[in-house]
Amino acid sequence: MACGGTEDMPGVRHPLLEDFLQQNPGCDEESAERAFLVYQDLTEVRGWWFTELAFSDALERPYVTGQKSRRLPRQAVLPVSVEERISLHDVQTFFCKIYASGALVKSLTLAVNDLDSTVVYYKLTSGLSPPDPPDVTVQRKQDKDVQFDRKRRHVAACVRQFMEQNSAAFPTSTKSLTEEEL
Amino acid sequence: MAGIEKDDASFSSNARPAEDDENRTADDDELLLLSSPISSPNENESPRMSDNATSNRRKAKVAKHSAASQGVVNLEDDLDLEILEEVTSIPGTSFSVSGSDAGSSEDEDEEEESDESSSLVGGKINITYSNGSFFLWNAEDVHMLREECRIVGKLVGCLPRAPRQNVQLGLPLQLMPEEAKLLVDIDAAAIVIEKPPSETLVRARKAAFENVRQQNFQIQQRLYKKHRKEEVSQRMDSIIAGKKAKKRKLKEEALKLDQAIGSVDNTESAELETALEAESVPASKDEEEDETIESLTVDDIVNTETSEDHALIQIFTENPWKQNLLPFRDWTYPSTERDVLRYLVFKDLWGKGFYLTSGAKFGGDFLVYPGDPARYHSHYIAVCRSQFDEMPCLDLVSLGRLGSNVRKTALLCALDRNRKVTYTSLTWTGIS
Repeated sequence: MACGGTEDMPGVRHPLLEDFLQQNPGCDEESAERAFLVYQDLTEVRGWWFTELAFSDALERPYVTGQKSRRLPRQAVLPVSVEERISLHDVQTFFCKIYASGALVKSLTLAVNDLDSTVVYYKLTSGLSPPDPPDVTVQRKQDKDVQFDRKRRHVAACVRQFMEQNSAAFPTSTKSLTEEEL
Repeated sequence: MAGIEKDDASFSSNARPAEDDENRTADDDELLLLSSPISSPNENESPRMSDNATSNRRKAKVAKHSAASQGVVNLEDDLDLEILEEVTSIPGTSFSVSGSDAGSSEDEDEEEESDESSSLVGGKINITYSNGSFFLWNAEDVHMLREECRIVGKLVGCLPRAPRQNVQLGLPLQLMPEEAKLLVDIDAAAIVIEKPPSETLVRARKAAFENVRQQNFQIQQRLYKKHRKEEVSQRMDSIIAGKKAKKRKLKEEALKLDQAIGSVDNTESAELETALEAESVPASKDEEEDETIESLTVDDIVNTETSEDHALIQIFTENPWKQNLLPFRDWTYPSTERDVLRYLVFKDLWGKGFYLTSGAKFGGDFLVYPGDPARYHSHYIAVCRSQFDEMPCLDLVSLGRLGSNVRKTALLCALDRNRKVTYTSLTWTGIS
């Protein structure tokens, strides 16, 4: 997933990234490129409903805000390099400096970038955030199963319908085929 | 006899109905036979403590017996010996020293045992400090700690009745330093060390202990014999009939063998005949023998002692000796920065109503449970880091991944400038 310009090809950048760098001259190119990679990943690969690049002057770091779907609230995604080292003090600072929809965030998604453009997302929440209770997990799994089942039935129905039409048009076709094979 | 448990299920089987024993299978008999201390198979009705003479029972066709344990009842009933409560701290314990040598050394040691121990820690839980670890030796305290203080600890002791496993463990309960410190801080417990007993005291205890063992054994013997006699006297007729039948059978077999051997090799038959003569009874003495069998009495049959190895013993769930406890004063915990961090995190989370145990299982400092660990899964894996300790991002990834795999939240704990604990929860987003 090549996104930014390289030394070999200077100036060949995504226009969005170009704009972002122009608007935020305090942002260094490397972290901007990393942020743009995350931006692309969320927009193109994960299919988020809305994404936007942002920059924190206090932290001197770019980040992404976005919504996974229309109904879910906006959240902040902070890109970090796999080589970076973060202290818990840094994390607390993030919660004081990063805004989403005009308010300070209570939780933050850390997007850890590997050099091969792999991105993993981990959510940091200030304070204690208990794991999902079992009923929620079970419900989620059931919903998923129901969805999958519906899909399967749809696909099976499509095939059945086709086969019925087929056999109506050529009533002996399947039989003659097997005879030929024999 | 508070706090004393008898180590044999058959102790409690006194009231067991006799049918239970009738149901015992041949397999049981085989097993018992293997561990049988009986040397001579002809020695009828040789009694054993763990179970009655099953081998003989089969030979003599005596009707089945009920458990030998019926011979054992509460020792207090039979013990009217001098009770030496001075040696023990448990009132009413039937520890007794009748031997004069033990008694004499006892008196000297009484003065050595100070009364400080009782006044020192009255009303508090005693946590014994030993070799850098903290232990609880009293089962009731362990329960109280869990129920009242939400302190779980870890059982580390070997179970006396199942010594060759470590799935289930028993007393003592080991406490983390954080747990011990917290209990002391809230004034619920005191850390004590036990002054090692003097050599004379050890000797006295040993003598007293052996004495009790011996007495218990003798009482068991007495009761066992009494019971056996009752039992045998009820079945005297069938025993005598059985003996006669057995003799007749042996004689017939010997005759058969004689005839068989007569037709085979001469040299071998000579050897066998001599061997058989020892077993078979000459015909002339037959009636005489019958008479001796007829005149058998209960005492003739019940005359053997059981081995001391088969005696029932007591296992204590509480220290029966008077202890010489001293307060443990030179405890410097928490001394290092890390200890302070861990302790403050422990205390803060405990103060929020959680149960905490060691988090080593999941690579953290503590596991945080919303309720009793026996009933709930833990919610958090608490990981204590100092505020400015810079972690590689990959550490965060591994922590988050571990947490999501075991359905827990990784909880990063640090102290801020005001020594207040700050928490950051780390979870996997589900976006792979």
